[in-house]
Amino acid sequence: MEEVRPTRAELLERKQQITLAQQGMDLLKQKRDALLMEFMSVMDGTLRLSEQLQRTVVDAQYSLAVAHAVDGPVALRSAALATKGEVTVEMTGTKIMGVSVPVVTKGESPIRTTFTRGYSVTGISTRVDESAERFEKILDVIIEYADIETRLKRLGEEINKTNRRVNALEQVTVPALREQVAYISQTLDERAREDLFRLKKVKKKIEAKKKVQAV
Amino acid sequence: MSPVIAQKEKLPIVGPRDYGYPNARLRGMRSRLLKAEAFEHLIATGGMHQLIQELMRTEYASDLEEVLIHGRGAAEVSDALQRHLIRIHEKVFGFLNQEAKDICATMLGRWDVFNIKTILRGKLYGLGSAEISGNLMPVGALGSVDLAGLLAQSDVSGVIDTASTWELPQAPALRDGYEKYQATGNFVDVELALDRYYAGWAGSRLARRNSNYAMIRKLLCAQIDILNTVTAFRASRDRLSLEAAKEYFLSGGDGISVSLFGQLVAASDAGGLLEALRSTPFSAALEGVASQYAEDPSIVVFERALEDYFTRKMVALSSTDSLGVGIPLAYLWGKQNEVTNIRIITKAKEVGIPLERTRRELILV
Repeated sequence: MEEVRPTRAELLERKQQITLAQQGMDLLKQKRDALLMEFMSVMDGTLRLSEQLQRTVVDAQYSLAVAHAVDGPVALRSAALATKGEVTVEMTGTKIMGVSVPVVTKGESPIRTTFTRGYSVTGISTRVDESAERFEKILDVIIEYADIETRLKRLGEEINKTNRRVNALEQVTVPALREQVAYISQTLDERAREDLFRLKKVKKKIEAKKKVQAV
Repeated sequence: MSPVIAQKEKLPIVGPRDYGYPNARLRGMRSRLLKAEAFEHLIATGGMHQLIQELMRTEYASDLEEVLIHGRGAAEVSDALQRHLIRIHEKVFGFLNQEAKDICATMLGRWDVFNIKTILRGKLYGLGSAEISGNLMPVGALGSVDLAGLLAQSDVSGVIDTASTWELPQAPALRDGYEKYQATGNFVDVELALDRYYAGWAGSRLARRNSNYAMIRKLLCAQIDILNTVTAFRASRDRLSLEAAKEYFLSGGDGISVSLFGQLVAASDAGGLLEALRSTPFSAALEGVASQYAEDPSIVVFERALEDYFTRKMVALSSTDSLGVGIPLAYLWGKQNEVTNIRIITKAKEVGIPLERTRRELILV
């Protein structure tokens, strides 16, 4: 136990600290519950997007395999040379229950039309086109997924942090403060008893002195 | 990719319109094209290793031997198929008469356009020659040496200047397209100029009063019509304006006029597209896949039907005049189709596509 001055002021301070810690603990528990509710709703969205991403990847891989097989690797790679592009994302931030979370938003949609992909449609089959479109869809979903997954991760981290704080207050701080309060109270009681005993002794001595003088 | 050098062999002197020797030889080669049972056998193989073993028993053995030292995967088989196709084209061109060479080179001119486009795309994005050369298919008039010369240029304008210096027939189209590209910044202008050039150039090369030329000209027209039909389908799906869509219209077809193209672009659904195409020769082919389209609403379904229609027409040339240009063209298309089918089976083995789906993907077996 840390060094505690067994004074009445210290006792009052420790009692105030216990009240404050309990209030803080209640608030943190409320925050944790609210974060958990938010976490669960973000979790639903993450699962939905994760499934969508898996489906989109399977579709894209399949159409790439078909384009590769029917049009040949030569035609496919030649088309790929013509479709260089960039994906723009905007990074901002917001707060959920006081937790800072990054927000990833798409700049220009990565999904292009057949006529804006960079090659002449008269020389490229629709299989190659469809394959390109499906991979662009993957990019689109990945950006959405990155946003929601980062949010989920940040919320998870915050829930863990809040949980650790609640546990620390509940298991360590408040019991320690209670122990200190008990120690101070015990010491003060002991001092009071000593004082009382001393006073009684002094009283007895005074009475004895008075008796001698009277005789 | 190293150029495949055709084996030197003693060939009889063939007159400019003598089809006797070349067609007899081609009929023999045609008999070695894989039949439906052979494809079924390849599909039924247990895996890539077994598939390669089966292919080693076919005409592809020598091409496979050259690449199998690098590995035994789908990429190596695909490389071998590409080598085989280039070698077969060189071999066939080696014994064709002048007229057949002229007609076949015209129909295969789309590969020249494809190769030039590939080189330009690579140069535009600063790719190295080695990276681009693996994506070329030297089966047209431009051989490996010509393409290596173009590849050696440092940028797009260098390629166009070289094409002009060599007086390649594509050079004027390249210059026009490049000028437009410099104004708009859209490289599609160069590619479109090349596509338009090919349609016009091939049409004029086949415009002769000769039954062989006339027969193939009809097929070229059908090919251009198919391209225009698919472009219209895409424009309709992407809700492109008629003005913008017309930029992609290729002249030279005989079934799809500009006004019909406009109707197709304006069609709001597949029913409208099929209705507008009712008077064209592709109507039956498209109607045949309408139910498949209803299940999987993708233009791929229609394009595949049109490609099958065209391949069927090309392969059917084998039953035309036995002393005509139909035999070499039918063989070359049949060979391309065979290579595509083997590639489909190889890819299916690699990624684990179910057998039934593989059978469905095969083209005209």
